[in-house]
Amino acid sequence: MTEKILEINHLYKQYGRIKAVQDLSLDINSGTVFGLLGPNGSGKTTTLGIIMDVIRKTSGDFLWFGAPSGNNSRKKIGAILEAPSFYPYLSATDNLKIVAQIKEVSYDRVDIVLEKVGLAYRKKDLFQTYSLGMKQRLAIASALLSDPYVLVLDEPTNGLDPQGIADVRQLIINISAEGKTIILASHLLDEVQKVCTHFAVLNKGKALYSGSVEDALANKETIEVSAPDHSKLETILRQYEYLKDIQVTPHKIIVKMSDNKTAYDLNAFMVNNGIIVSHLVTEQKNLEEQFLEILSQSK
Amino acid sequence: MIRLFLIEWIKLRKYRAFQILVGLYFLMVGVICSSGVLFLEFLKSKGMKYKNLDPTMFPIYEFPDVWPNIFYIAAFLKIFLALIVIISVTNEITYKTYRQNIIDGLNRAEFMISKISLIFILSLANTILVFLVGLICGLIYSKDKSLDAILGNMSFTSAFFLNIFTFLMFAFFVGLLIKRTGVAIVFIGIYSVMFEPILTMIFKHAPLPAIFPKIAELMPVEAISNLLPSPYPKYILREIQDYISFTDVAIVGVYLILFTSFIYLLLKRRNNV
Repeated sequence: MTEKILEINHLYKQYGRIKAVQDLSLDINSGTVFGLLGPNGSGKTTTLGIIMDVIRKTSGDFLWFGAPSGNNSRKKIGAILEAPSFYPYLSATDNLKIVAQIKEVSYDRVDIVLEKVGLAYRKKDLFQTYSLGMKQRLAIASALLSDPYVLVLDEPTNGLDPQGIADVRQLIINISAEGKTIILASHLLDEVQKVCTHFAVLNKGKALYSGSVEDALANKETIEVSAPDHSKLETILRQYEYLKDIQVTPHKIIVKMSDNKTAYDLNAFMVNNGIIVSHLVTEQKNLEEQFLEILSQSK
Repeated sequence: MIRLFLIEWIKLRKYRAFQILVGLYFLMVGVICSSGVLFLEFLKSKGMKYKNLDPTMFPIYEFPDVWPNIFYIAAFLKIFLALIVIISVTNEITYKTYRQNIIDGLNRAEFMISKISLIFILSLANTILVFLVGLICGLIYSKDKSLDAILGNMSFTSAFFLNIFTFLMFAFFVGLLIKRTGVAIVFIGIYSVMFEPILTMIFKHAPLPAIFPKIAELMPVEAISNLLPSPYPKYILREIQDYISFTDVAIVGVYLILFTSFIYLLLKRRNNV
């Protein structure tokens, strides 16, 4: 069953003359891992700040769980925006007790979430003695404290070492497997491709694309071909009716096709036209290229 | 309400700087308020006299005079308590924990009430401490120990509470407005110990139009200290105000409303918390 967790309608945010968010509309359904992608300064953090009520919107509105937001809806959301913010002179346990009081959940949850992120052994130490990775894990523990329906994470792997990045990603995947909705801002496309089911691309405060990762990557194969007679190959390829795009390099030709045609169809066409290829490689496109394409189209 | 105070309490109870500052503050209040007789004996030993009167003859701890006397002195020390409030407010901004509190689900009014509950408890603890010191010193030094005498001038207790509470609300406002711990502390120190007292002095005594002394009475720090008029001139047989004036309370009440509104507006209207 899908229901709308978050609905953003025509959101605008202006800082003086800078338009940080322009006419942003998004629907995020329950159970999805939604990636908010965009280069630095594209309005991702501003958008998350607005939906978490720490940045004032200029106009537009947003609904959490189908209702105008208030602090009670925020209690059901676990969010980390920017760097983990805790009282440096308090232990992990005391920091989480404060969050438990704010979210009105039992102190029993404190040890459960600390266990979950692997910080239980340092729970009595002051936050200021933690490494960056531990701080980030404490932030995730804090976000999980109220066993929330939704997690909002802004650059969750920022500044972490490879092990930390892998741990955090695994944690996100595990949490998502529990059926929770995750909204994640990132400029790491690889990250979004690895963990997200849906994504939106933001640039200069505008949403350029919004949809599922699967759709974005479907039918986006490119095929590399080369043949001894390079110019004949090009002439023939240009006659192919399902040709969408062709890129000629000195030694090979890169082809995109429409209508779900694959390398098989292309090969058959070429054989029929008397060309035997010496090289034929199908390349699955990744989100990075897709992203760059979306960005370049917007210019 | 208890939840909101509890949030504040967890934030501070294990904060070493808070423990030390509060400990030192209450120690200082206790020592200064109870050493009046020692101080007068010190003056005597230095050969100081007023119109041939021995300073130790002044019955400063006599019931019920002890109340205006002791609360007047204790009120001078509140600037140190204000530092504690400023640190607790500016820390929230420096460490971005105010922002995180909001993200976690606290609303701005709750954050404000949570800090006000801290201010309330600090003011109450301060009042109780000074009251107890006054009671003990009175029981030691006062000749008249009748219940009537002990319970006389009780209005000074509530005036002291109001005095501290309002000044700490001023500190809350200043901390929130300035955001930086050091700057806020320097500001409140210079403003309330130097700037405003000098300005009110000029307004009251310089040859200025008659409206100026009245304006002076309306300045915040002056208005707050007017709650507890100095009782000491009576010992040199000058006339003093030996009651709490309704007008003074009303002016301070207006300031309380103003500070609370400014604090709320700052929390509410700031673009980026």
